[in-house]
Amino acid sequence: MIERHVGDQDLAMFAMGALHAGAGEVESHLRACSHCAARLRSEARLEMALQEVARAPRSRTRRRVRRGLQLAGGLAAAAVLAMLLLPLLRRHTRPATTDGLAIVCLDGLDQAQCQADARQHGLVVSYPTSEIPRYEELSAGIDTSRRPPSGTGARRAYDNK
Amino acid sequence: MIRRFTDMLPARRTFYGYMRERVAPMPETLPLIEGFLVRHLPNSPVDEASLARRALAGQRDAWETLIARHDHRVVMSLVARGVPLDQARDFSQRAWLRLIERQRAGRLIRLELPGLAMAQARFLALDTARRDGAGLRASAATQDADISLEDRILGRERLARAQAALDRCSSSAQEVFRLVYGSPGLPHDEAARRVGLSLQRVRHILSEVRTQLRAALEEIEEKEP
Repeated sequence: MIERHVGDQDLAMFAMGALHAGAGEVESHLRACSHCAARLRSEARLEMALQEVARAPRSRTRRRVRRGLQLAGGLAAAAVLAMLLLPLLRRHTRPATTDGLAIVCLDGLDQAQCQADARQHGLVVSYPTSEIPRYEELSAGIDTSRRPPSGTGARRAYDNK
Repeated sequence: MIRRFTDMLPARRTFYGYMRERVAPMPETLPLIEGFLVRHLPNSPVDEASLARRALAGQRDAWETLIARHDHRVVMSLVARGVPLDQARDFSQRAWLRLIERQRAGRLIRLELPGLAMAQARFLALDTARRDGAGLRASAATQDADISLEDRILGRERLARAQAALDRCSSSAQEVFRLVYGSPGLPHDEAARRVGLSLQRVRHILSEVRTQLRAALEEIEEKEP
């Protein structure tokens, strides 16, 4: 028999059924020592209480709160992810007309480069549909402001001059 | 008139249906198959329901396994009620014998352990205490313990506090705890196998959870007048 009292750890392990080495000595001590027997009773009651805890259904409120928190957490994570990814998606799918600015890329060796640069900066490459005044006419000194107007009445007034 | 679509289908002829129709009505078949498997695959995990079926079919090795699994818990349930350790072992032994006798006599239909063995052992302890004059102390202690168990262990506040303490533990610790202390309660080595941890680690986890829950329960005890 052990002369001194059984240690707390050994007693707990004995109550859990996990003490194999030295279990015989502990048991013989417990038979003789009323103090340790009372401590074992306390440990055994704790074991019963732990079984109660493990078998008790978990409260619905707590489960609901936990589910709510999980849902809220999931939504928050999704929102943060969306905020992070949206600019990237926008950059990739950004239409060329975003800024509404249009430029003209003139004929030449660097026209392709110009168009690529424009696309990269979100500019529209467009060419005017109206007739472009010919350089030869401008250089010949023709006063375009004195050209006959297109309306009928105005044309007659011009001819009478 | 609209006929249900399922009424027009032919009777199901599946393997599962065959098993249900032909094998399930023969209750002696399943325990025999399970017994064969356990003998030839000794390392396979043994589940409680299969053991109970085999024990109800009278297989001795199943009874031995069940007793080895649950006897300590039965003994501790009596010790918790104030029965000395030696007597508790004796009552537990007699309770198991009584259950086996009832099974052999065909009077045991269901086997839910360790609850049934605990109830049987407790009944024997109370009966002995009533008949034996010398056991009056044990009887008083048992009844005393019953009252205190109902008042304290089953108390709603203590239970809630202990559950809150358990919720604060890690999820793996909670799983181990529920496997070992839940119903029917696995032996430590089987719980370790189930969660993929070593036996030492499982015992360490249980010891830690136990300490935390004890602290939570004692905290309430101190607050009570």
